[in-house]
Amino acid sequence: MSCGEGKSRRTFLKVAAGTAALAATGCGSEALKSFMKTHLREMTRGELSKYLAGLEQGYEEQFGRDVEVHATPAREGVLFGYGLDLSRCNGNRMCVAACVEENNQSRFTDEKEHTNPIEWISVLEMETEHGIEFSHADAYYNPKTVPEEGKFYVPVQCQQCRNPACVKVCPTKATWQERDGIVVIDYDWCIGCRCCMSACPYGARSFNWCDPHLPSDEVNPNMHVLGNRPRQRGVVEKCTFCIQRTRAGRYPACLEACPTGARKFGNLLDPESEIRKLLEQKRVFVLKEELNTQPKFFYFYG
Amino acid sequence: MVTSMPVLKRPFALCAPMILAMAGLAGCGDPSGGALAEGDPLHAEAIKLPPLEVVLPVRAQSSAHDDGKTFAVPPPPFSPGIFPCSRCHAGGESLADTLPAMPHLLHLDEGLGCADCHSGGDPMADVTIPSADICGMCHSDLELDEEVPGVAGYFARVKTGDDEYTFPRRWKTQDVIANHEGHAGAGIECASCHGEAVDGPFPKPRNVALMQSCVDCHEEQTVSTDCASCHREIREPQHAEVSLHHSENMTTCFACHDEQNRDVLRLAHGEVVPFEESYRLCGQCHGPKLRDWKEGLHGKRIGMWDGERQYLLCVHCHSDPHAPTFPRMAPLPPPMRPEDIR
Repeated sequence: MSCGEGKSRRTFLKVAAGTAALAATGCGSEALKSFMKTHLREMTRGELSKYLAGLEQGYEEQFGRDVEVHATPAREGVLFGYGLDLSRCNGNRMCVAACVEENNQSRFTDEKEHTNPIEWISVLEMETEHGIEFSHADAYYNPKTVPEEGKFYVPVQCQQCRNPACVKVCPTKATWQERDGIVVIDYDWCIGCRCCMSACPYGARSFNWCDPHLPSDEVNPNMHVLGNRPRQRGVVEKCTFCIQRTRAGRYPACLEACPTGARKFGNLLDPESEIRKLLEQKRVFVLKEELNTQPKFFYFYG
Repeated sequence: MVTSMPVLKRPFALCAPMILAMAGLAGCGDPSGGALAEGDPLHAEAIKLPPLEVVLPVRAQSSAHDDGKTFAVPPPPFSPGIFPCSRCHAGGESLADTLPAMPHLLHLDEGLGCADCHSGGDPMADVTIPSADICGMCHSDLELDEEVPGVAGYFARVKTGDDEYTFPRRWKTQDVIANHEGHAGAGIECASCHGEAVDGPFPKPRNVALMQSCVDCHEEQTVSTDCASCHREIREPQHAEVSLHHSENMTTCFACHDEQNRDVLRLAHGEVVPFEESYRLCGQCHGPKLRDWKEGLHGKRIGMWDGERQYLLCVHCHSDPHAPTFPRMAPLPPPMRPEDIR
C-alpha cells in the first residue's frame, strides 16, 4: 500500500475517517473534533484542559450562558456506596425530578417533532404480597396519593456495580469504572450500539433517540465531563451518583430531594461514614444478587 | 466522630414548628399584640423559614464547596401555626402582670358581687367581660373621673372598640369555655376554681398553674380533657391544626411542653430543652429511631458527605409533631412509556 509522501498511515486514516464522519453526520468541524477526540483516559493534562475549554465554549454558544465543565478526578481512599431504605420510600418521585434537573437530562417537549424525555431513576411500584418481584413491578403508577395500600416502592438507578456487565460489553471502551467506583461514559466515544443497555440487568441506562431537549434556562451550569454535561443524539447515558456533586464532597441531588430521608450515601472505605454504619447495623441486600454484578447500591428496611 | 451535639446555626428556627395547644393559658398575651394580622412580619417570616441547619462538627476534612447549583430542598411542609408561642402566651413575671389592672377588691368592698358586673346579676349565667355600659352604671363620666385613678385609662381602652386592645383577645375568659352554668349546676363552689378570695387585681384562675387543677379535676370526674373541649382558641387559626394524633395516651399538651413556658419542651426527668433539641424529647419514646438518626441511618442530612452537613430534626419531616405520621403525598408524573417516544 502506498501512502502519500510524508504522510503516515495514521494521518491518512484520520483524514479518511474525518471525511467519513462529515459525510455521515453532515456536521461541521466541532462534530469532527469530538469524533476525532482522544479517549479521555489517554489525554494529557494539556489536552484535557483544551478539550474542556472547547466543551465550555460549545455549550455557552448552544445555551447562551456561562457553564463550567470540570473533570474532577476520583479522590484517593474513596469508594462510593449508596443506601436506600425501602420502608421509608413512598414513591413520590421527587428524586427523579431532582435528578433530571441536576443532570441536564432531556425533557419532554411538545414543540419538536421528536421527543425523548430521559430519567435516570425509575421508581418501581411493587406489591407487598409478592415482595421484590420485577415481573409485578410497575414504573408508570400514577395514583392521586402515594403510598398506596398494599404497595411498596423500589427506586432503581445505576447500581454502580463492582463487576459491571455494561463495561465488559462496550466495544469501544466508552464506558468504564472509575477508581471511586462510579461507572462513567465518555459520550464522545460512545457509538450508540446500546450493547451496554442490553447487558445491564437493571435497565439503568438510557439512549438518546433524538436530539435532547434541554431549555437554556434549565441547564445546570455546573458540569462534569463524565457526568451531567449535555449529551448529544445517539449516545447512552446513566446515573453517575451525581459525579459533579459527589466528587466535590456534596450529597447527590436525589438524596437531598428525598422528602422521606430514605436515601443514604457515603464513602465505603471510611468506617465512620453513614453508608458503613448502615452496612454494619442494618441488613442490606442488593438487586439481582445472583448475577454477580456486585452492586454498590444497597437496599434495606430501616 | 460523626455525631455529637449539634451546633445550631439558626437557634430560633425550630421554635416555629412547635406550636402549643395551650391556648387556655392565653390570658397573658401582650395586650397590644394580640391579634395576628395578615401580613404580620413575624408571622410571614416564620412561614418562610428554610429547613433548620443543624451542623454537626464532623471530621475536618471538608473540601471547598463547589459553587455549583444547589438543588432546592423542598421546605419542610410546616403548616400549623408557625409563630413563637410567646407571641400570644408570654407575659411578665406572672401572667396577671400583663393584664390591665382592675381593682377587684375595691369593688367588692363597695358591696358588689362578681355576678353584678360579670354576668348581668345572674350568678348562673356565663361570665363575660363587663362592657363600658355596665361600668357606666356607677362611673357616670369615666373619662373625666380623675378621682378614681386608673379608671379613665381603663375605660379609654374599653371605649376604643378595638377588640384587640379593649380586652386582650386571648384573655382567658374569651378562650376558655368556663361553662359557669355547668359548673355551678354540678354543685362546684366558685372558690374551688377562683380561690379563697378575689384578693388581687384578678381572680386566681388566671394563673397558669391552675390549668393543671382543671385537668386533675376533670380526670377525677372523668370529664373530657381534650384541649378543644375547654379552649375555644384551639379552633382558631393559630391552633386550628393542632389535633393530637400522636399516641393514644398522649392527651395533654404538657406531655411534651413545659407547663410554665410553652416555648420550651420538658423531658421526663424534668430537664427543660429548647425546640432545637426536640430530638431528645422524641427519643425518650423512640429510642431506636434516635440511635439511627444519630448514626445517619434514619432521617435526612444535606450538605457534604465528607464535611459540614445539616441534620434535619424529627419535626422537619414529621412536620406536625402533634400528628407525626408521615402524610400521603401526590406523586410526580410517571415517566414516558417507550412506545410514546417519537
